[in-house]
This record gives sequence, structure tokens and C-alpha cells, in this order.
Amino acid sequence: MKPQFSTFAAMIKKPLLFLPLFALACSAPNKDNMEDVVNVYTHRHYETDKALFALFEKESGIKVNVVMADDDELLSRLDAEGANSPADVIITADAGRLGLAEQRGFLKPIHDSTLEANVPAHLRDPEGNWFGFTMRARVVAYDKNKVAPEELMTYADLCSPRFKGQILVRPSEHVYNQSLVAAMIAHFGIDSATSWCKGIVANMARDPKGSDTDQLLAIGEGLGSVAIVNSYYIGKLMKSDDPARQKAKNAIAVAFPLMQNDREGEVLTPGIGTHVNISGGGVAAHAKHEANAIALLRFLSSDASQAAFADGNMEYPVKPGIPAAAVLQGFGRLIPDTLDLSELGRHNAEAVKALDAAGWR
Amino acid sequence: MIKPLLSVHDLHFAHVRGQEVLAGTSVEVQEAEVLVVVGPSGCGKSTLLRCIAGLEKPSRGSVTMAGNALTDARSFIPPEARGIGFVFQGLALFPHLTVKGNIAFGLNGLPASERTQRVRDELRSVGLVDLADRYPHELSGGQQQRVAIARSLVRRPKLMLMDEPFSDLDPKTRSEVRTEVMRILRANKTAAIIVTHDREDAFHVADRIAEMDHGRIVRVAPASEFRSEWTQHPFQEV
Amino acid sequence: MHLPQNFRSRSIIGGLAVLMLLPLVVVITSPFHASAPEWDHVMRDILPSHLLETLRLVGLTVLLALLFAIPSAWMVSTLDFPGRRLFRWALVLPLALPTYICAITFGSLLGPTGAFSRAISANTGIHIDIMTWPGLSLVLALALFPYIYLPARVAFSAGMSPHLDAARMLGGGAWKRFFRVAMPLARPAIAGGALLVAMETLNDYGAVKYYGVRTLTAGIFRSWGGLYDVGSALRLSGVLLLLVISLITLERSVRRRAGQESSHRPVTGAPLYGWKSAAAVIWCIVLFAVAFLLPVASIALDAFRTMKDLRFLQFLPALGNTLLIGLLAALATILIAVAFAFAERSSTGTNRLTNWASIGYVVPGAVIAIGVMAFAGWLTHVTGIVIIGSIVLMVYAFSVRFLALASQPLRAGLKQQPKAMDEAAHLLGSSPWRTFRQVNLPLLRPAIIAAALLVLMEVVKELPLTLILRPFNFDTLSTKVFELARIEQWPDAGVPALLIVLCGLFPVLVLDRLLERRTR
Repeated sequence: MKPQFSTFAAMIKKPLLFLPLFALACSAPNKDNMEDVVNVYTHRHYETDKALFALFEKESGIKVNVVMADDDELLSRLDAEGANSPADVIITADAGRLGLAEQRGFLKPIHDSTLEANVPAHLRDPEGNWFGFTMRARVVAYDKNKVAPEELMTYADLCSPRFKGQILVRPSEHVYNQSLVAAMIAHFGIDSATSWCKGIVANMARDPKGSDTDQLLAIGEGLGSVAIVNSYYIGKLMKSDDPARQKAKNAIAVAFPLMQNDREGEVLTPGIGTHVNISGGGVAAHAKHEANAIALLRFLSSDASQAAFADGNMEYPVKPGIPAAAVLQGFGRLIPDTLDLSELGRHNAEAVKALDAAGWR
Repeated sequence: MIKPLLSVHDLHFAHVRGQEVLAGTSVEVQEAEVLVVVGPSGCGKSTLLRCIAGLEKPSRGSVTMAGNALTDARSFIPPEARGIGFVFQGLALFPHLTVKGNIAFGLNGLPASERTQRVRDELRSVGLVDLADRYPHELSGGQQQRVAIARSLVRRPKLMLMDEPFSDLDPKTRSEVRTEVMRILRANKTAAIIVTHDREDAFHVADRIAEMDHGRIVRVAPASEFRSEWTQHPFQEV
Repeated sequence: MHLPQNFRSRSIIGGLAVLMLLPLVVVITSPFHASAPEWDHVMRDILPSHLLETLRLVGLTVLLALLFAIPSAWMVSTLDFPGRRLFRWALVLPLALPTYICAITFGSLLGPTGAFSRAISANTGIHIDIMTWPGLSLVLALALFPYIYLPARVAFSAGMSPHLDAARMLGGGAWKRFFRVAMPLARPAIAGGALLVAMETLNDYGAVKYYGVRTLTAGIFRSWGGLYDVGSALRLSGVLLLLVISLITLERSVRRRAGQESSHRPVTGAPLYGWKSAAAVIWCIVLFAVAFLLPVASIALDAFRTMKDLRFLQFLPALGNTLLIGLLAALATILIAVAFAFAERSSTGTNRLTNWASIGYVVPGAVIAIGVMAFAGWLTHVTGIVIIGSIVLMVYAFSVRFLALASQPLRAGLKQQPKAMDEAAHLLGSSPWRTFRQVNLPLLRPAIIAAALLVLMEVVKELPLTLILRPFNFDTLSTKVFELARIEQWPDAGVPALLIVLCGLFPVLVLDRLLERRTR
């Protein structure tokens, strides 16, 4: 008698045999080292980037392979992969993480005249480990019916009793809140930065929650009159035609506060502008396609790419002479803080401690 | 005296952290003899069967069948290699196999043709030919009982162990099944140890009866001897 | 018991268990090998607040989930009212919604600037804000209550009828029958479900981050990403593990105190009339509408609005990848779970190992990823085979993460098979492996399918492991949703989010059918 369950056992056994084959087939893209490819680990997940990669592929004939994940996880992956890492280019959205990648030896210094010409010196690593491609300013959006622009000359102005119960901001878990405080620590020291954080917490309209866009929408609903947000979210909000966002669009104006630890200070320290962070990248230490990697970095610093970052993604281009998006220009001129960007990574942990000490959720 | 088929000597068994269930049990079974074990619940009847079958390993003592040691201080033959049949209380038929499938289960390793033949013979001898393709839940209690017995007998064991084999049946079926089981056992000349708490069952099937209490066999005697005693004290619990 | 193949099977099972445990061992032993420079700060300023918020979030979520699940399960199992049969399966559907999608959707409707909140405040002047910790509990409970509802429904339906009938004959009214008979009998099933809800809540990262609730998982990421201190992050994971182990112990003790199911005769529903019937119908309609219809309608609306701009076809590869990785992961996890079930059934003496191997379910995906990558990096170092960024490693990581989910139905299924059946097979000359393959396994088929579906469903929803371990150019539906949600273009995520829900609906419905068949 043939047992009826033999088919069942076979059902389990057969796929087991196919499993490794299947997996090999699926992971095939990793194997094409000989081909003209460039392997990118990136934290950026924008349609603009995808379009630019596609354009690069068309122009250069080099295929762009992408893994997109969060900065810290990408760094962990690089760590585990070591010398076997397939990555050629590493792109993050935070100067602190670029500094960290450099410290841990994930990047390789590059000296390339095109890149050095396109990216201003303070927006790249002096050794050539990484290059910034776009700037994002941490600005203050305000309700133009309730607040006058003169009231928001400096970040310290936000701590004024004038804004009690008025400040909208996302949780301190977000890297751009951390890097803003890191910049303050670099300029004025930990004590000053901590008391600034306390001042913000004391003036909050509500517990921090939601995204930057949610803070902007909250202004529209009158839940607060000032919001600390990233510049490009304002640009995106302004471009949106969603009727639910109309109220916020009508209400908002933008201040570009300057770095200043003392609200009463009469003279602003020259050169301390609005806090910016960058997104940028470099060549991976164990890149197998170094020439292709440099080609891609050059391409990202070119006029065409810089204009696409500005218009498509509402970021500030780094290349001199390329204008920011018209919407953002309409709100005023950005004078970026020229702080050495590697300082941001150096003070990030302290920044988190200051935020925790102030009770900024 | 004739050499016994099975001899159990001084078995000791205790559950983890428990008191001794078997406390020096000894008993013998002759070829083709039916021995019924009676005793109050918890006296160790079922454990005795499980130790003979090799489902439990006693801490001390020996089990010998046809001169071969099954369990002693040095060796322990695994249950599947002992050539002993076991009919469980509740039967433990395989619900996903047909009557035929259940009976064929124990005939692994035989050529297919021989296996088919033996299953067919067995079905005929227990009168289940017409029900060969049914599933256990489609059978009556008596029919299920016969499948359970046939499943064990098909392997031609020298000894059958049966744990409360008639307890789940109604009175009428019960006496039918009893007769049927005895017919099959006698026809195959199979020795058996049957555990029950029912005196009537004991009288009807036993050659000898063993009385068990607190993990010991306290008395073994021909069934007739017990019969006369029990008729005098009909209400005493065994 | 003497087993001829004991040594071979023991080494295979042991090897598998070690493989499942390795990434977690990296995490648990981290206090001994990874330095944690910021640990003092974490102990003082992160751990106390985050632990407190974790405990109250988990507590309230489980409480609310019980509140949603038990009355519903009781009503659809033992009472009769219009629509009962429909609600019976409809209330399982929220299981197809990932918690992060639920959280964002409810935020976009009832958050401080949500569509409903604005309408309400315009008409009444009352400001509604669901984006608080009790609000998050509510959202999580709505998404997770079917984890309790399903086993409770099975418990109330199967095996309970003789006890309920007996209680009725003894003069027990409906309330007494519920509290004195049904609840105590169903307690193990309910405790198991509540444990799943608690674990899912502990593991969540997307929703807590968006709502600004500081749970231990959020603290892990804060230490890792903010303090640049992986050592402290791993230590916090250790604290999380301790919390989970105590929850498991609690669940075990609740389980042990309860009795066994006995009969399989279905309970016949006692008809309800008048206002009682109306109340039952309203309860079920409201729960179903809020937990499922509302979020799905909102997602569908977003999908519909953005469909004209997005090329729908661009999501097809992601859909294919999602199903591929889901099926492979389900297959691998089931094979391992079956091997472990065999080990437990035939007592190979590896139980302690296999029990521990299930703990991956509660470790945050990103932490498992660290462990898995550390292991893979070591493997590469030793053998030269690069497996990071391959499907193999993803499947491995998913097996580590979801083994518990697959093991649970298998264990429950095996428990229902009488041990005497195995012994009968034994005495009929069958080896332990043959007994398992030809007796236990065929009977286990529904449980195996249920387990595979659970894993498939979770992999479709899973995000952090997929995100970090995936090969080049490998998008799944959940990474698509993440990319779009991350850049704060939530409505654009409508199409992939809807596809995730649809992918999840199928396994959920089959699962429901399977459980129903077991009950009948």
C-alpha cells in the first residue's frame, strides 16, 4: 500500500532543494563586479535622486545599483561587511554621519578638481573624504498674522516669554533637532545650548509629535504660531495643491534666524548665520569601481543635478551660481552658518544629552 | 514447570519526584495464556503494562520474554523491537489513516505484495473486509476496537497487552467484543495481559487473574478460584 | 527512551537552534564585549522615562485590546444576532493592517491637524488629538485586538459547550456563565493572545516615533543614532528582553492554572432580542468600522487621488519581491519550526534550546539586523562567502524574527494529538522520525498552513529588517511605503499601502477559515 502522505513529505522536501538555487538567482546583481556599475548605499529616498541616477545611467552607460536605508543601519552594514563591502558610494543626509563614516574608515579620500571646484570648501571634508551636495536650513516658519519678522532674528528669540505656548516642533529623536543643538554647543558650549533647549521646552505649544510638515499644518490650524522646521518641507508644502494644506500655505512666512546665544545681545557675531546641515557622500574605502564612483559624485555636483535638487526637492544647492527654488527665495535670503560641519558629528552625543536634560521628548 | 513466555521480576518504577508506582512487581505469563490484572485505580496496573512494553524504563528489575532479556540492569530493548502488541485505552487509532492504512502501518519493510496480503488476511480474520477504506471516526466503538487489535496482531506478536480494552463500550457491544477478542487471541495462540477493573470482564476472558495493590502483585490464581470468592462477596470492590 | 537516531537528530536540531540564537547572543552578551561610553547618561536620563512610558503604553494597549476582543469573541460565538456570521470573520481583518500604517492614517484623520479633527473643531470648537500616548494605545489596540479575538473565539466555540450547558442547568445566567465558566476556561488562549499584543507593542518603532511616545525601542534607536553608542543600544535591548521574559513567565503561569479543552461540539448561539440584539449589532459594526473600514477607506482614497500621477506599474516589481521574500521566509521558518516541533515531541533533549530560540520575536528588527550582520560578517571573514545583501540572509533573519509565530500553532496542534498515538506507532515498529512524519505531521497540516500564513502576513508588513538587509535595487511594498512616508508625502504612499493590506487580507481570511474548520 502506498502511504498517502508521501506526497506531503515531497511537498516539504522539494522547495528545500530549490531554496539555495533560488537565493543565488535572486542575489545575482551582487556578482557583476566586472560590469560597468556603481553600487550606492544611500539614506536619501527622493524621486529626484532616482531620476538623477537614471539620467546618469543614460549619459555614462554605468548602471547604478542602490540600497536605501537609514544612516545608522547603513553604517552597521558597512561595519559588518568590512573589506568585502560591495559599496562604491556612500550618501547620507547628515554631516555628523559622514564624519562618523570617516572616523570608522568607511570612506576613502578623493582629490578631484571638478568636485573641489563645484563644492565650496566649508561644505566638504578638507581631506576629500566626503562632499556636500545640498544644504538644508533649520528655519522657523511663523504665522504672519501673529508674528512680526523682527521678533525672530535669532534662535535665542524663540526662548522669549513672547512665545510661551506657541512653539511647534517635532520630537528630539530627529537628527536635525540634534544637529541644531550640536551647532550651538560648538559655538557657545554645552551650558548655553542646554538652557536654550530648556527655553524651547518651556515655550512649547504641545508635546513634540509628528513630522515637520505636521508642524506647518498646525500653524494653519492655529495650534501655535512658530514652528522649527527644515526648509525643504516648507518648499514642498508650498508646491502642494492638496486643499487640506491651503490654510497653512496662506498663513506661513519664514524667518532665517541667526546663531546667537544671547537674546539681548546688541551686536551679532559676524559669520554666524542660519544653521544648515548637508546631505552628501564620498567614495567607499573598499570601492571596487572607484572611477565610476567619482564619476557619479561629479555628476551629482554638476549644474544639472544641482538645479534638479533645488527645483525637484526644494533643497539649497551647494554649487555657487545655482539658484535656490523660487518659492524659497521668495521667503528671504539664506545666510548659512559657516561652522565646520564635522563639528556637528563631534557634538551630536552631547546634543542628545542636552535635549534629554531639558526634557525635550 | 513449563518455562514461562514472559517473566517479570521485581520491577520498581517511580515518576519524577513521585512515590513508587511499582514497588517490586513480579509476575509470569505462559504461552497462549490470558492473564487479567485487576486492582483499584492507581495501583500501578497501567504502569506495569507500559514497563513490559518498554514505554517506560523501570528503575530496577527485569523483564524477560522467551528467554531473552528485554529489560534488565544492562540492556533495554526499545519498544518497537520487542515484538509485543499494545491496545491502548482509548485505542489511539490514527485518525488520518483508513482501516487498511492503520493495519498496514506496522508492516514497514515488507515487500508491497506481502504487505497487502497480510492486511487482507487480517481484515478477514477480524471481519472488517467491508470497512477497509473507512476512517476510524466512521466506525462504531466495537469496530474501532477490532481495528486496534488487528493493527497489533498483524505483526504477529507473541504477547498482547491491553489496557482497559472494553471500558468505553456499551454492555451489549461489550460482551460481543469480549467474545470476539478471545476468539482472535485463541485462534492466534497469542498470550495476553489484560488490565481491567471490571470483574465480569475478568471472569469471561481470564485463564488466571492477578490482583494488584500498591505496586505489588498480591495474589495470582486461576480465574475459577476468584469466581467462587467474588460470588460470595458480590459487593466488595476489587 | 532509547532512540537510534538520537545523536544525529539531536545535533541537527541543536545546530538549528544555535543558528536561531546566534544573533540574539550577540545582543545579550553585549554588556561583556561592547563598550557603552554613554551608559551613565542612558541610565539616568533615558532608561527611567522610557521604561515608564513603555509600561503604561503596553498596559493600556493590552487592556483596550482585551476590551475590544473578548466581548466580540463571546458574542459571535455564543449569541445569535443579525450579521453574526459576517462579523465573525470581519473582525479578524484589522490584522492585515500594519501598525505604522494605522498610526499614520489615524494621525491624518484624528491628529491635531487631521481631517476629522478640523471638521470637529470648526463645528464645536473642541480640539481632538489622537497623537498622545493613550491615543496610540487606542490605535495599537484597534490594529492588534484580533490577536486576542481569534484564539478567544476558538476557545469560546470549541470544547466549551458541555461546561456552558452544565452551568445553564445549574441555573447560571448569561453573566455568570461568562465570568465563572467561559472566562476561566478561555484564559490560556486569551493570555497567549495578550502576550502577542504586548510583544507587538514593544517591538513597534514607526508608530511610537510618529506619536512622540518614548518606549524602550525608541530609546534603543536614540542611543544608537543620537548618542552614536551601539553598546548602550544593545544593553537597552537586553532590558527589553528581560521585560519580555517576565511577560512570558506571567503568561505561562496564567496558562498553567487553567484546564484542558474537552469536547468539540459547537456552541449553539442563544438568540438575542430587542435592544440587546441591537446593542450587539452596534458594538460589532462600530468596532469593525473604526478598526478596519475607516483606515482602509482613507488609504484607498489616498491611493485613488494619487493614482493618476503615479505609474501604477512601478509597484509591480515591489509586489513581486514582497511575495517572493514572504513565501521563502514562510517556507524556511516553517521547516525550522517543524524540526523543533519534532524535537519536542520525540524528546531529543534539546527543549531548552528550542524554547529559547523563539525569543527573536520580541527583539526589534533593527537589533536582529545588527546581530545577523555581525554573524554574516564573521562568516565572510572565515569563509570568504559574502552573504550580506543576499536573499539568503534576509530569509535567515526573518526566520530568527518570526520563529515564535510559526512555532505557536504547531505546538498547540501537537498538544491536541494524544501521546498514546505516538506510542502506538512506536510499538508498531516505527522510528521517532517516521512516527512524526507519518502520524503527527499529516494531522498537523492545518496548523502548518496557519503558521505559514502568519509568517507570510508579518513579512509582508515587516520593515526594518527588509530595509537594512536587502540586496541592491530590491524594493518591497513596505520599503516603498516607508520611502514615501519618510519624505512626508503620506498620500502618495496610498497605493503601496493599499497593496500591503490586500496582500495581508488573503492570509488573514484563509487563517480564519482554518480556525473555523477546527472549531466545527
